[in-house]
Amino acid sequence: MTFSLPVILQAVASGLMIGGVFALISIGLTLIWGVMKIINFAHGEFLMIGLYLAYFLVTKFGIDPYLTILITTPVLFFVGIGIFQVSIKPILKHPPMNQIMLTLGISLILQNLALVLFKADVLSVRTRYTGINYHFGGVVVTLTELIAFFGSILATLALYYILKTTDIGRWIRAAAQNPTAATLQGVDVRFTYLLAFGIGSACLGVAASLLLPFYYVSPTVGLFLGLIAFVVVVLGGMGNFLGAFVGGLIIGLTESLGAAIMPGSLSRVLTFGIFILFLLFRPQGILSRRQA
Amino acid sequence: MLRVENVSVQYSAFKALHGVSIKVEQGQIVSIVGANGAGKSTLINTVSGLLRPTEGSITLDGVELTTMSAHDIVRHGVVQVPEGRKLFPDMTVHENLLVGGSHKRARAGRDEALTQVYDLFPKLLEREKQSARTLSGGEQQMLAIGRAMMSQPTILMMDEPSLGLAPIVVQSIFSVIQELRNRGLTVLLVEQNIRHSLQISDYAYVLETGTVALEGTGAAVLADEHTKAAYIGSPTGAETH
Repeated sequence: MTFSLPVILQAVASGLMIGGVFALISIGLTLIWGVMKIINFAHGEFLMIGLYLAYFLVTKFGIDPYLTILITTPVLFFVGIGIFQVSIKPILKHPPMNQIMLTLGISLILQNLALVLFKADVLSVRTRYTGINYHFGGVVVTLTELIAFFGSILATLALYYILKTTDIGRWIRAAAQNPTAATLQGVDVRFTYLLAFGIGSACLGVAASLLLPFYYVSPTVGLFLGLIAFVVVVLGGMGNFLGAFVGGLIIGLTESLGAAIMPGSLSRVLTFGIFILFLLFRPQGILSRRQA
Repeated sequence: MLRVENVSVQYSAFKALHGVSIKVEQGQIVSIVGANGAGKSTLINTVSGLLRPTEGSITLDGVELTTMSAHDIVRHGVVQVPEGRKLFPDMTVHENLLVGGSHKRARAGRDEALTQVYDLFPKLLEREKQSARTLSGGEQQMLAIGRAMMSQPTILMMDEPSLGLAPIVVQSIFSVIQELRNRGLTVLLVEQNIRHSLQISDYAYVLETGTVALEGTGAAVLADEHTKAAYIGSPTGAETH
């Protein structure tokens, strides 16, 4: 265990950077939950699809990793819409347990499909952005982490702007707050569910392209990141947009500090310790507003 | 204009409406009155497409609404102010109104509709940026009516607009309903406040256990001995709910 100040500062900086990406991933999940009350256990696997897609675009077609956002985002949007139409829509009114089993099943299928197609290898890319570092005092921040952080913040703000100021955004929020009342205003609630599922998945396309230059891809990469997203969503309050953002930063910090100050195999204890404490003592999440 | 013909509605084993027929003509206020559980809300929700009739048909100017989806019925101009307001509590007053006017037919005239609503309910303009949950009961009812107005309805159906409001607010809600009619809107009103709603109605139906027990002009139904005995109490007595 080390508690030296430079180590802590470094951990805080790295934690914030990755926390921004956690926030974006979690906002996608919390949006889907907030609108249609379905927990998408395949959320992490959608991100895995995005990561593989970005990986092949970079390695096979030589596309700049950040330009792949223009492809991964719409592809993930349509992956979300396709999966919604085929599997989620028919079970919208079913008991929660059936919905959990369904999305869990989708996640297992996608994981194993990836295993068959891409083998269990852990892949990563070297790009022209790799190895560029900035020094702030004793703290080192890589360019790729910085871009991921600011990219995630930008994407989050864009999504917030859409939800806040457009008709589509208001339909989504109205359907989340009272589906019957939304129907009575002429809103096609099923269509807003479809859109919300697509948008929640599209967040993962952005996140995948931002993560790839300093992260890795493997069939099980979604397991960990999906789990992190659940922790963040619970921490922020299920369905709470702002909560997911703050929660993402907190879990990023926790993960990074945990790795810095705890012995290797215990580094996750902090994150899941916080998760359990929240479940026990503050299940409504960090921002005490009711579900938005 | 609106024709409900021989409509029956069933909730699993319980038949809520048996062959109900009503007519609403252009520019009228038509009331549906009756006790709790008589089927008043069921009737309105069936016209709105939230419930499906097991038999019968519902048409607006000859257009079949019976099998149309609920959101399409709104887009055709049949709009409901639901019981209990059902606002979007975490959205602002302004946002609630915008949602009401966001379907395709309403969007073109949205700015004028907004001006009209704020003109009718200046309180809503004052509270424009507050979230709907912070409004008083009366203001919430005004917002619910305003939101429905935003979709530029041809017929406005109101389910218990006076429920749970202070007497003075009830008074102002009823004058708003008359004002809307004077502006040319057609209103289908469901109320437990029977005396008051019959007084402002051109025509009225009394529902009892899912069937039309009595119909006539508001004044005629109000004067009917059976109505008096069952719902209004002694002719000079206090109003009941």
